[in-house]
Amino acid sequence: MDRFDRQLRLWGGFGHELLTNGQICFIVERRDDPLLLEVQRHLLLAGISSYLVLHSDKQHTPAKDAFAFIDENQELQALNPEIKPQWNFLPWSRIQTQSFKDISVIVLINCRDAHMLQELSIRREHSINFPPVLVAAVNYPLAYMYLWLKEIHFVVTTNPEYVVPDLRINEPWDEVLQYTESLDFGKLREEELAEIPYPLILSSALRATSQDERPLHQKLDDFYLKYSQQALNDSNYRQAKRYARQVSRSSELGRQRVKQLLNRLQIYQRSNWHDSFNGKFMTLCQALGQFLDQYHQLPLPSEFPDMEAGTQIYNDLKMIYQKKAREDCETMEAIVARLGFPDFPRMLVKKFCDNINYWTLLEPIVNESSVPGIYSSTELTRYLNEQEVTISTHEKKLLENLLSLAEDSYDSHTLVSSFPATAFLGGAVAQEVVKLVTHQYVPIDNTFVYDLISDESSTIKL
Amino acid sequence: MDLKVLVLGAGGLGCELVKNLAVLKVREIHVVDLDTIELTNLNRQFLFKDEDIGRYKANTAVDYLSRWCQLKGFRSIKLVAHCQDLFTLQPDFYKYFDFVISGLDAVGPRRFVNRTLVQLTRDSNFQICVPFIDGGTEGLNGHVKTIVPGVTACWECSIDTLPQQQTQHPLCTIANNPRNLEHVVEYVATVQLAGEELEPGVLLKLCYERATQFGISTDKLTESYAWGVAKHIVPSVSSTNAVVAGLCCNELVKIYNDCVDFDRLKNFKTISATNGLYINSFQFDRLEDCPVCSGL
Ligand SMILES: [Zn+2]
Repeated sequence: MDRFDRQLRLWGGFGHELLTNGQICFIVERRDDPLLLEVQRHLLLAGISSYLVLHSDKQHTPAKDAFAFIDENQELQALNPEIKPQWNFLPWSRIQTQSFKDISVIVLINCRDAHMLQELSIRREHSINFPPVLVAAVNYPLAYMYLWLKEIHFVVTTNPEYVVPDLRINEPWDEVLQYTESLDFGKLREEELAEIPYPLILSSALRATSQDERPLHQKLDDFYLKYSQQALNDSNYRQAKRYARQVSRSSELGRQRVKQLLNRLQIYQRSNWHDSFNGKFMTLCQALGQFLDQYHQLPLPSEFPDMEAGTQIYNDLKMIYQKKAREDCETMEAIVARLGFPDFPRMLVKKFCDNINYWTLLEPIVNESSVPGIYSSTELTRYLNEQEVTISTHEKKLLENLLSLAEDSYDSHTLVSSFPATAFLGGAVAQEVVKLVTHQYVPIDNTFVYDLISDESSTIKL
Repeated sequence: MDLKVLVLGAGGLGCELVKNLAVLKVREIHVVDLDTIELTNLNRQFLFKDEDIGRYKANTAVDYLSRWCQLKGFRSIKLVAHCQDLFTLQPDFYKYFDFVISGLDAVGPRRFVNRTLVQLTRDSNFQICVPFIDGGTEGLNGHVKTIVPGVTACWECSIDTLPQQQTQHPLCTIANNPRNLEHVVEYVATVQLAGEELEPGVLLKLCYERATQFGISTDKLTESYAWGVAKHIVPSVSSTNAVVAGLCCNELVKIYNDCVDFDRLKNFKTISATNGLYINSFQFDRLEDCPVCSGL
């Protein structure tokens, strides 16, 4: 069994490979910042091996309330024997000249030195491409994160927990039609009828009752119970009844969702990307646009869900769906090649088609201020004014605290140890980095703030 | 902090919990865990190393952090390991502590500890009242429940909110009518190998044979896949553990520093990081006819 078994179940070999190639830049006041130590440990465990640490030149007394290993250097190296971790330490003065070309994510930890923030902002503004910057800090009881995107971030799959399968029952293709027609319900015994998977029952019903204007779920019994009196007790027919209501919508809903996403992309026609994965994904989106124009359908995902059915007939149907999925995927590959990418990774086209209903994107803020929104009192004040009527008093209080923090007039609670807050945020920050690097699950968009005493949290878009 | 804290479980959550408590300089930290270290623990249980595989988790975690405290000059901190089943620990053992924090992965032990702690409070007429802070994780999601016996909802009060146990497929499906690999693995694990100690290689071989027999594609059939289905393995990662353990210890710090009003304490939290980061904290009321805590 694999060392990474328990996390591979979350992001797969696909995510693991992206993590292995990831490079993280930390910007910190001090190299022994307790939050830095936490985040770094999680990222090493996740499989990221390359780190650039930009730190201030100031001398600091050693940090209290932190967890560093007994022999920090040696043990960090040994924490994940499958990678060879490497660190590069540079002072802040190098921000202006540093290339961030190969950096996957910049994590700004517990530092809001005005000069450094300005240097970073200028560097970012003057670069065509720049990695996402994740700003994180603990000022107990507040813990907060802010995601500062320069380019679109694509999420290849949100990994939803519950899904409604899109089986195109009301938009069948030839092979499904032929298979449906080959079944004569009138000639089947009740035991055989109990083995028919529900998509075949529903597509037969749709065809046979096309003159009847009632919705499918209302006319289904009239159509089917004449073949089998006991059908209401059969689990396959019960499934058919449950899914009958969704038949007319699921394909259309998926199409609408994808069209909206593609529309949002129209203003971002660029050929130059910081993250090559985002660039590849943009190509896939262009191909998808052409696919939709041509076939008025989304490519069919290859995942065919389990359903009540006999083994043989289930396998037959599954084969028909998977063949169609393979053909759609090949068509997409051909379109991608025509767009000028003949060597485009096949695996990625397949991953895209399989998650055609589950991908999404995060957009950068267009007219942003020169420092990260979370440290901009103008942004926060504007948000508070705009949202005054819609937010709860608790949330208002929380955001006002954040505002006083942005204005540098916030009183941190120093009586209580803040280490648990640091440990909490360390996990949360690492998780956001992993989401960004693996392009799986949806990162915060774009501001998260949590008060660890009042237990109020909020996510807003600044 | 002048406290005696019992940590249940020295797994992914446990390692994070004990580390936090050591940094907080909690005077006495006890750790209970019966398990030994395996390779698949090492992606998150950062107090353990490859050479520790096979050793008791509780011992290994306590040994490491004892050395850590010594080096830091935290001489007054005492760490104690209990490599045993928590069911075997008597109520007298539990009442020694000021807090119990759990990082367990099963329901049974949590119910047992909850029952024990509530009973201690009942028997002593509130002379003893040990807060029980329960953390749990699954993938990128988690929960924290703060239980003050006789004051806030106990673990049993919320038992109905637990998600239904994984839907087992009906036996007739997995026996006569398997359609996918899950059905195949379940049959092999629960029928063909019923009562036997599972071994990954054997499991994989039998699954492969059965899938082939029923014409089910074996493309996705790997040892890890079969093992995951057979053992109902829950995905687990250090970042989620840290989020939940951090919040558990923050609850402890808040109670210790009198930062909470028990009448309005948001005693339950759910955390989800799959889509942004959502922490839903709320007050969960006591169940009037709770079989464990009612009448207290
Ligand atoms: Zn109760």
